[in-house]
Amino acid sequence: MKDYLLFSWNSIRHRGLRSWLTIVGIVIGVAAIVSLITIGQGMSNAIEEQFEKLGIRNIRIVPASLHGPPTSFFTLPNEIIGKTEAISVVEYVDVAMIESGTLEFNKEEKFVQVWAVDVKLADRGFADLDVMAAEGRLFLPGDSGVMVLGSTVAEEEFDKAISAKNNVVFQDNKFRVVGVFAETGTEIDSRVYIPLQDARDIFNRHDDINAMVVHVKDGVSVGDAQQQIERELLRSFDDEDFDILTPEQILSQINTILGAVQAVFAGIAAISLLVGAVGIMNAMFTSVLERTREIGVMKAVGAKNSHIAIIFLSEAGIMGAAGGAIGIAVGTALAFAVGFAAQAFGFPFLSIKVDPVIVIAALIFSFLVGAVSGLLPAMQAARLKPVDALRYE
Amino acid sequence: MPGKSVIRLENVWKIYQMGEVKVEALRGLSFEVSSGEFVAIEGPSGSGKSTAMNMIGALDYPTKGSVYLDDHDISRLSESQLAVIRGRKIGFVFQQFNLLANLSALENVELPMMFQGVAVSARRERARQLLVSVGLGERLMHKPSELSGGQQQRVAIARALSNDPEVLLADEPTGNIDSRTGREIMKLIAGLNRQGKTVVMITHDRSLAKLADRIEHLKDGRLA
Ligand SMILES: Nc1ncnc2c1ncn2[C@@H]1O[C@H](COP(=O)(O)OP(=O)(O)O)[C@@H](O)[C@H]1O
Ligand SMILES: [Mg+2]
Repeated sequence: MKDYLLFSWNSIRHRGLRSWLTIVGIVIGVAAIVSLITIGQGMSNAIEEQFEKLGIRNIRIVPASLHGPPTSFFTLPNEIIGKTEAISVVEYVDVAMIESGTLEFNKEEKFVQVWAVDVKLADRGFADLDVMAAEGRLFLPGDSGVMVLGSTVAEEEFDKAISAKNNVVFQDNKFRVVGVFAETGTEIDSRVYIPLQDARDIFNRHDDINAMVVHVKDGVSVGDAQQQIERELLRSFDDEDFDILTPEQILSQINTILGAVQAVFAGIAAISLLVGAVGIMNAMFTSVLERTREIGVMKAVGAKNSHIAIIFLSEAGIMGAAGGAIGIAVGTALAFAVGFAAQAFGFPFLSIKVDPVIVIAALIFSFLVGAVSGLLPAMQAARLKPVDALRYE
Repeated sequence: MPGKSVIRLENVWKIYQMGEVKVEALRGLSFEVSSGEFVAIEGPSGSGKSTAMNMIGALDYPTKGSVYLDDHDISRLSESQLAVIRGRKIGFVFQQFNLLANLSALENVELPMMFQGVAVSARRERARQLLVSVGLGERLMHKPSELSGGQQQRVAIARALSNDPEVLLADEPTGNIDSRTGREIMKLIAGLNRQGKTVVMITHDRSLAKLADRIEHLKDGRLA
């Protein structure tokens, strides 16, 4: 078999540029597939990493009809907090009110997102999220008029870095910065945190919140807990009031969006591969015609039909694999480019890696696409009568 | 020392259907070649010489009649069985050399051995030896286009010998080369016959045909 591959490689080498152009379709198709898979993997790695940071055992309760991250527009009534805390599988509940406003420091003003949390629980909630203070401290029970900053807000937002013990003004209210979070690589970095009661006063919102994170008791499965919470809450609330999301559900929501993007890429890939396959088939038919006499000679010196078929199949396969190799290079480069672009636009999480399994699979796949495209021409070559082939001018 | 029968044609007909017309290229040809013989087939153009060679060389099926190689009727074998016979028992030399243009002299000589599954190192060594024996030891890596007509035909002869066939079949081997070089090629073929190879050669040239043990005249598809 190796003999025939080498033999075919030799005859491909002697072909003109024209034949090489026929593999462009394969190049584009494989590039689309490889970049698709590589970016897709990078994305889901990134997303899973994010979720791991946000706590895989936590259940989110959010206003119904919310399809993205929580915002100030969709609210949950205060009563839901107590009802949830009373459920047996619940260890405790972290609540958050989300608002945005102007933060003033050193005569500079910036618009920031603020998350207001219950200071009684804040320490514990932050610890469960693996969020720590890089500087100063986090909230203590009874805190008021204090603020903890995400690392980006503290270090990059303002010309002069803000540190613990600095005073700032938020929405015309004086706050003392008591701490700065260690960098997390998540959205937390660009938020500021204040006590819930302060936010209620500043924004005059006394009856609702925007999100709840339910910490499930150890030994209870997340799925079971979700079901029980839902059952209990439906006694007091309408199912149009709230949604219960487990990390898996959030993941699957995102995967649905990813899936749509992937379908578009897959369509491009399929069309290009088809074009490439037709191109290879055409090139191989031409090659068979041009080498009719050669085929006759090979048969005269003892080549069986199967030998001739193998020679042309491997020739088509090698063309496919060559296109595939270039496609892998292009696709990987594309994936890295997207990774860098994502970083430039502020998503530093997209980690693009070259997966040897994908590289090898793509090579085998493109070889097979080529070989399948060469099937008909190879059969035509194999079936030539030796005498007719030798007489061909 | 002619011995057992190697090739035997019995009442062989070959009829080509060209649209409406039937061309009777062979019309009841009977003919025998013994082991170790050197037979020349002579005849005017269109008399069926090449067609006869296709029959002897297992390249084509007769329309009627039988072709025996080593007393086996090969006219009813499958295509792939014929391919094996061509590969192992027959060595072809053509008027147009028919070397593969992309392959070096060495690779051309290796080719028939590749189809017989001979390992690379063994076939490379044998191809080298054969090329040395036909006087092309210095031209192993040359492509056909870099060789003269006479040299190309020597490569073709080395290729024909590569699987040590029983019969060497040459169809006007000197037809495309000048007469001086042609005589050298003929000497080479005659020398192979003296070493014991059975040779069937088709030629136009009476003076070359005289080198053979026996001359057969073909006319209108049968022996005259
Ligand atoms: N494949 C073929 N199809 C149709 N006619 C053929 C074919 N091969 C040979 N012929 C015809 O058969 C006759 C004998 O041809 P050939 O054996 O080539 O003669 P020679 O080699 O003696 O010149 C010629 O008339 C030729 O045109
Ligand atoms: Mg002829």
